[in-house]
Amino acid sequence: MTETASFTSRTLHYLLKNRLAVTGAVLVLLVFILSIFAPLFAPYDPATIDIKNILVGPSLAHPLGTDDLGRDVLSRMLWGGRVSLEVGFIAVSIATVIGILLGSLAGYYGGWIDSVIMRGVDIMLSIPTIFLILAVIAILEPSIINIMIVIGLTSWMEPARLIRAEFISIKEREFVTAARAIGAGDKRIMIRHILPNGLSPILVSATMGVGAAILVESGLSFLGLGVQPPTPSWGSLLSSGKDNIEIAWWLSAFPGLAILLTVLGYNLLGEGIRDALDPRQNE
Amino acid sequence: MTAAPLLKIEDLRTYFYSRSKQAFIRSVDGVSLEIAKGETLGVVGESGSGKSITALSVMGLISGGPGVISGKIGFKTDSLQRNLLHQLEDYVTITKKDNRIMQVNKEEAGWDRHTDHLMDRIRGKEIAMIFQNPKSSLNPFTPVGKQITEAIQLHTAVRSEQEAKERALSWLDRVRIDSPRLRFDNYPYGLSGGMCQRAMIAMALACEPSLLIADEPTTGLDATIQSKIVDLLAELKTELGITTMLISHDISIISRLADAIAVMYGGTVFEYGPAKEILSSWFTSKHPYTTALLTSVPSAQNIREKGYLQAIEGDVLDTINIPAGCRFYSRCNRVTEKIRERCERCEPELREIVPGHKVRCWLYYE
Repeated sequence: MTETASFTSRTLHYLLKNRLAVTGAVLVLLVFILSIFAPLFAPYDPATIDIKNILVGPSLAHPLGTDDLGRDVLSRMLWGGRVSLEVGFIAVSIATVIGILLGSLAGYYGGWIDSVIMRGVDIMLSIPTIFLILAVIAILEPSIINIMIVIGLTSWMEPARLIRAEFISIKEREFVTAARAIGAGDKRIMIRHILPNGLSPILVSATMGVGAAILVESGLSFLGLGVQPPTPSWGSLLSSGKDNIEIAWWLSAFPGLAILLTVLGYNLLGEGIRDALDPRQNE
Repeated sequence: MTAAPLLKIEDLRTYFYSRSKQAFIRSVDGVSLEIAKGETLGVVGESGSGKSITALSVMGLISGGPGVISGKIGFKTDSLQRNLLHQLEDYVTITKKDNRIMQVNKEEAGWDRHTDHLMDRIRGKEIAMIFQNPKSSLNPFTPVGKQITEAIQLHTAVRSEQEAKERALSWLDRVRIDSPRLRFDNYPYGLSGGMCQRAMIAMALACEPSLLIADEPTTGLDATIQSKIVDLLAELKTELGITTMLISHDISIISRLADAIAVMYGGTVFEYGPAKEILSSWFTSKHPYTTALLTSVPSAQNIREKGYLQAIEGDVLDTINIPAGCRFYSRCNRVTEKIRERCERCEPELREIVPGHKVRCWLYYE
């Protein structure tokens, strides 16, 4: 690698050399494509009830079997993947945006602004998130939108801390002084000069955050407080499968596997990005 | 100095507080300087003499307390006249004991806001600055050309992207960057140190400032590139006639570019006068420090005459424990018995010895 290779291509180079990261990326991409094109891949309508084929095991007609209402499990999983990914991405976006906003203000201005924001972070971190989510969802009605918002609002603390740390270190760098000397104002320095240079740790945390959010959504749906039937999501499929787990293992096994592999994929990819961004890699 | 000064610094004091030593670091301790319009002032001195802090104080870019605590910085162009430290005294209370500053209380947040207000339309527009390390002074995530374009859009009437880009390209060309169109989209890490410094110079000059502050513009570069950057600065000086404050510890660079020279030591100005007098061998009423500084330059002539390189004995002044007398007393080799007592006890003033030439030394008090 020459020194002049761009940052992006260098990171990509290290990412592609890392087998685990590539595995993660493949898993993530696979789930992504399958979910986005669910209408194309799904062999049946996910809500069509077929009383004649109840609890049929995996077969050619139904590769992953059918459930207690005769609905095709594969089709329901593909559509459910959409819900899970949607929740994952939007929740993480909300968390990241809030985190970046508060973290930058805290890191850049310091002083009492920093104290107020960071005490807010401490308070949020001292509340067990899952109980907070359960309480909020129990009061509000459980819907996809509420779930995304609640997960987002309870997971912005990590990005906020990361961004704050980046701002504190980058604002002392020479090019920030140079930008000041050229007459750039606070807003410009924060958005154009510091933020782009401090985004890489956020990239890692957001990638892993998607996996975590999917897990929380599955947990909520499993408890019946998540996505409501008949909309399929991996968590609710898992949950409804548990009633018949003795006679129809496929109802729980496949959604569980999907959750496992997706979260694993995001975590591997996140670790990979972290390693690729680590300057010590660049031997 | 015939023309009215563009920048006039009067008795500037910039202090920092050392928590571990429980004392002030008197980085800039009563600096007075003037730069006439169209002139290049060379500020020379050892590391820690307060050159860079003076420059950053002018820009209002001192971070860390208490920072600038007193003084006046008059800035005057055809269209604008302003004291860049206007109303500083409203934010600072100084407690003195035996004429020494013992305690400083400064409302820093308020002063920072006030400075930003005072420096609005001056930073980058009227006064531009280039820094020591060109590579770390450019934003690593923005293409070089884009950074110049942004500066142009920020400060000139040019608003359209295309026009600003054209102007940035012409500046890149003017600072002799070859194939500017190719370099325009390069990120700073794709350019060599010398090229980055050229880009920095282009960015500083692109808004046609009245004053350019160059803080050790060649220090971070290797020798061959250094001389090329000095060539470029010399060319730009004749071409544009821009007023420059050139800071360097390297007297050979100063000697090539400066019209006037200020020699700094321990946070004050020791000597200030026309470059040709300070650099010449016939002008002998120089400050002992200046003389020592000139003979320590590794020039062929010095080495031929002496056969060795002359160094100044002793260490740089500790700006925390400033002695009561002359700051250079402990290292000075020209103290005579007649003045010894004065050198040790009292600090001399910066005194005009011939018109336009000031020296801070007891030797020249008849």
